[in-house]
Formats: sequence, C-alpha cells, structure tokens
Amino acid sequence: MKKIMIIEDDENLQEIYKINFEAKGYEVIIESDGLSGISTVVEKMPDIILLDIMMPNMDGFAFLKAIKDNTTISIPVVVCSNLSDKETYNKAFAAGAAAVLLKVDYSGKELVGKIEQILANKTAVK
Amino acid sequence: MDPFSSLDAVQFDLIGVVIATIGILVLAAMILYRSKKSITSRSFFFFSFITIFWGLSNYFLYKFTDPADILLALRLHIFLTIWHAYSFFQLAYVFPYESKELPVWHRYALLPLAFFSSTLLLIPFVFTQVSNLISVDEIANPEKSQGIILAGVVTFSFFIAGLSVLFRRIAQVKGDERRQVILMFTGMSLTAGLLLLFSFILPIGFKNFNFVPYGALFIFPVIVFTAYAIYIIELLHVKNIFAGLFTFFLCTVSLIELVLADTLEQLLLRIVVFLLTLVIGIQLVKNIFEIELANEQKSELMSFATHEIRTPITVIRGYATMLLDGDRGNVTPEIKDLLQKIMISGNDVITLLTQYLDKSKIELGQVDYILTRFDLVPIVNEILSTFQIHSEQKGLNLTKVLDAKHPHIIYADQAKIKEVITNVIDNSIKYTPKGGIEVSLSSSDGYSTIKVADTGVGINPETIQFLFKEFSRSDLKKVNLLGTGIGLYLAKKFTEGHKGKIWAESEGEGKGAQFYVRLPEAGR
Repeated sequence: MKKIMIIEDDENLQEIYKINFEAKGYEVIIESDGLSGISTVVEKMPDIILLDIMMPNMDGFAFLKAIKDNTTISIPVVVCSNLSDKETYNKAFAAGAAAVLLKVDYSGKELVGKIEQILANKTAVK
Repeated sequence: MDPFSSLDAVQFDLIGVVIATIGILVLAAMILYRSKKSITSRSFFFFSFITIFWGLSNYFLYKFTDPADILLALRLHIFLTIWHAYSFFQLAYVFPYESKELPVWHRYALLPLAFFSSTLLLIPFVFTQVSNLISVDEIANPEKSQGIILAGVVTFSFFIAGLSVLFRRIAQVKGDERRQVILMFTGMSLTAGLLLLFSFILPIGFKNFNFVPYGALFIFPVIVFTAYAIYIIELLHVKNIFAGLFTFFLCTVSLIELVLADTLEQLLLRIVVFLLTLVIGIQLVKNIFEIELANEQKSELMSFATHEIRTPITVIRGYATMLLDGDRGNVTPEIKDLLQKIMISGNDVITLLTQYLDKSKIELGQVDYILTRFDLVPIVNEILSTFQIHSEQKGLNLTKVLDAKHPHIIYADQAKIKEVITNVIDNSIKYTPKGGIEVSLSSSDGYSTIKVADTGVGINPETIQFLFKEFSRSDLKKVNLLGTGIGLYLAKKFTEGHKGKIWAESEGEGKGAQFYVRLPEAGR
C-alpha cells in the first residue's frame, strides 16, 4: 500500500484529499504544518509528500529546506499551494520540490491522478 | 612647462574621479533603496562604498607631492585595496541571491585574514618611508618591504576567488540568474582589463602614468554592469534607470561647467545650479521609487488576496466534484444540475480572479513567464474536460479534432497558454446560444495553431477591431458586448508575449466565428 503524507493547514482540504487518496488505496498521513510534518516524517517514511506553502509554525519552504538538509531522506515532495507567482515556483524547485502544482487547478480526484503520474515517472527513472 | 596645461590635467582627472564617485554613489543608493533586506544589495553597497574611497585614495596618492602625505595615502590605498578585493569576493559569493549565508570559514578565516593583513599595512611593516621627492608628473617611489608581498597575495587571492565563484555560478544557474551572473562577470572582466592596462602595463612597461589617477573610472564597468544585473531580476523598469541616468547626466554636465568656471561670479552661480540639479535630481529618483514601491505593495496585496480567495474556492469545487462523481451515493438529475451550477460559478470566480491578477501584473510590467517544453495535446484535452460541464449546461456540443499521436511541442509558460486557450473557448461558449464549438489543433511552418470555431452570434466587422482590446465601460455599451472584456485582451497579450499571433474571423452577425492562436513550436 502506498503511503502519502499530506501537509496542509486547511481542514476542509485535508478531508477532501484524505477521502480521495484513501479511495484509491493510499495510506494517508495528515499533518497541519511543516513543524509537525518534520517531526513525524522519519518515523512514518511516506512514499511521497504533498506540501502546502503558507502554513503556521513552519512554512512549506522551511520544510523543504529541512528535508533537503537531511541526507538520509529522499522522499519526493510535491508542492501544492494556491500561490502562482514565479518566485514561489523558482524557490520551490530550487529547494528540491519534485513538482509544483496550483491547488485550485485540481479536484481531489485529479490530484490523485497527478500524484500517481509523478510516482510512476519516478519509478521509471529509477 | 605651461602651468595651465598641468592645471587642466589636474581638473580633468579630478572630474573623472568625481564623476565616478557620484555615479557609483547614485547606483549604490538606488540598489540599496530598491531592496534593503537583500544580501546582494547590501554587499553591492559595501563594495561600492569601498570603491569610492579606493578611487579617492588612488587619486590623491598620485596627486600629493609631500612624501609624508604620499606615505599616508599609500598606506590607506593598500589598506583599501585589500578590503576592496574582499568586498568583491563577498559580493560575488552572494550574487545574485536575495538571501544567502556566507560559509562558516568566511567568518573564522577570510574576515580575520582581511582584517589582519590590512591592519598590518597601516603600520611601517609594509612601507617604511617614501624616499624621493616627486612632482605632479612623476610617480612616488616608496621603499617597500616584504609586507607588500602579503598585501599582493591576499588581494589577488580574494580577486581570483571572487572571479572563480562567479565563473562556476554561470554553469550552475539558469535563466535570469544566469544572465545576471554573466553581466557581473563581464563587468568585472572589463574592470580588471582596464586596471591591468592603465594601472599596470602602461605605468610599468611604458612609464606612462597619465591614466593612473583615473583608477576610480576603471571600476565603473563592474559597478554599472552589476547594478544593471541586480535591476533586471526585480523588474525591467526602464523609467527608473532612465531617471537615474538622467540625473547623473545633468549633475555631471553642471559639475563640468562648475569646474571650468572663469570668474568667481560664474563659479558661485554654477555651484548653485549644480546643487539645485543634485537636490532636484535626487528628489525625482526618490519619487519614482516611491511610486514603484506603492505599485509593488498593491501587487503584493492583489497576490495575497488571490491566494486567500483561491483556497475556499478549491474547497467548494472539491466537495462539489465529490458529490457529482457519486462518491456519496447517486445524485438525482436535479441535484446534479444544481451541483454543476455551483461548479460553473466556482470556475467563474477563479477565472475572474486570475484575470484581474494578470491585468494588474501587466499594468505594473511584472508579467513573468515560466518557460518549459510541453505538448499542447494533453493541455487542450485537460481544458476541454473542464468545459464539459459548462457546455452540457448550455446544451452545446463541444468537440475536438486532435491527433493524439502527433505531439505539438512548444516552449512556453504552461499556465499562461492554458489561460489563453481557456479564455478563447470561454468567450465562444459565452456567445454561442445554440449549436456547438469545435476545437482543433494543426501544425505548419514550425507553428502550432489552435482553432476554436463556434456557431455563435458571429462578429460584425466594426466589432472585430475591438475584440482583443481592453474595454472601458463606455466601449462596452458602444459595441453592445457582455462581460468584462478582459479575457481576449489577456489572451492577446500572453500570445504575443510568446511571439505568437491571435486573431478572429467571422462572416458577420449570426454566422459564427473562428478564433486562431498561433504559437511557435519548440526547436528540436
């Protein structure tokens, strides 16, 4: 069973994503901010992380940096936020994001499809 | 010797140094004022500041005649040379990033090295005394000690380290950042070349010291190129650069006039003119910066508001899709109809929001294109699927003619191209009460063309010219059109931003319309 960690502070979106990923057979771990995400990521070791940017305590960029600095972790991180400016895009890629998505472009089901595609590409590269 | 010719020579190299000093000061202040928090801006200011003093000490070193003065100027000059090279290295290391931490060895090795080696030079360790008396045309010949080797090695190491950091960065970075690093590298190479020729080869090889006092001018290329490079990333606002250059030009002209004054009255008048030019010029540049700052704040607020509104809309559409897909049990046709209406309104909010954000970015000259290579076929398919509900609701037949086996690869901003196609289809759906819309994709002469043909109300020849323009309310009344009119205007702007072409054809009212978007295909 594939494991996804969703780091997202909006409770409604947490619910939508959880239902849709679980419907496709994923084990879903929900964290509400970067700080709680970073404290459980080593223990849970998900296959992929879906990361929001604007969050309390520790934002997405800080989370990405922490993940990048920890050389023992090599989990693909997909940034999914509602920020669409070039700076966010560049910063996220520079910090090691596997993909950067605009949240509003995807329904729950479409997002699952996109994540499956990213996971498939990653396996193909390996 | 003609006393006046030597006086003129003094004046011209003084003018050179003063021009360089003012120019560097204006640029450094402009860059720092732009973004005070940026490490690159701060390092640039530090580098410029040292450059100014370095240029002045260089000038006085060759103008002083008293041995004691020369010794003082020389010590100060070599002291500044080390800090100059150090500040160049620091700038090269952080360039062009907004924030970048200097490595630990910088604090514990480089900084102390610069500090100790430069301090040593202030004491008699390096230059014990200046022996010979010199005239204006000759060069001082101070007695050197082993300390000069230390100074040379430290300066040269900082300089080479800075250049190699820049050179390696050219290979590491892409896009705008690469352009910036290349610009700074070019500027520094020019400066190094000028210094080498006029302060080293000519004086030592050909005993020509005439250009040595102009040292500060030779630093100009790196300062100008770097300032420009810092500028291009943030915004290509030519008006700021022009205002700065214009002020600089006026100040320089009035300064030259001042220096060339013949009488005391003329001198006093020209001092007043120069000071006025300087004060008004600085005020002008400051005002333009403030206007720009206000615009930027407006744009930031707009981006923030867009983000805040997008999140609840994502939630609304997320839940509505789950219900529509039957995730919570079957839905009756009536409920499905209502859910579809919720989805359409949600989509409308997003479209409007994106359009207003784009419009404000176009007005502020802040449109950025994030370029990638991608195939148009899946993009068109994706857009058509989002319009399925909308066309179903209006009872329109949305069809496509796409050859899935034949890719249409373009190098463009995917989100912007999506917006272009979305806006064109959205426009057709809006103006087609019955019938259908056909979207097709073709390729010829290195261009991909998206054609959207509808059976809608058609366009009369008078309206066609207004179609892609930004409307005012009164225009809207004149041509009797619905909506905001922003969609096609943005589509045109973005298509042209990709060196493409957008146009519409129609045989007249009631006869439908065809829209074409032609985009250059990516080279192989």
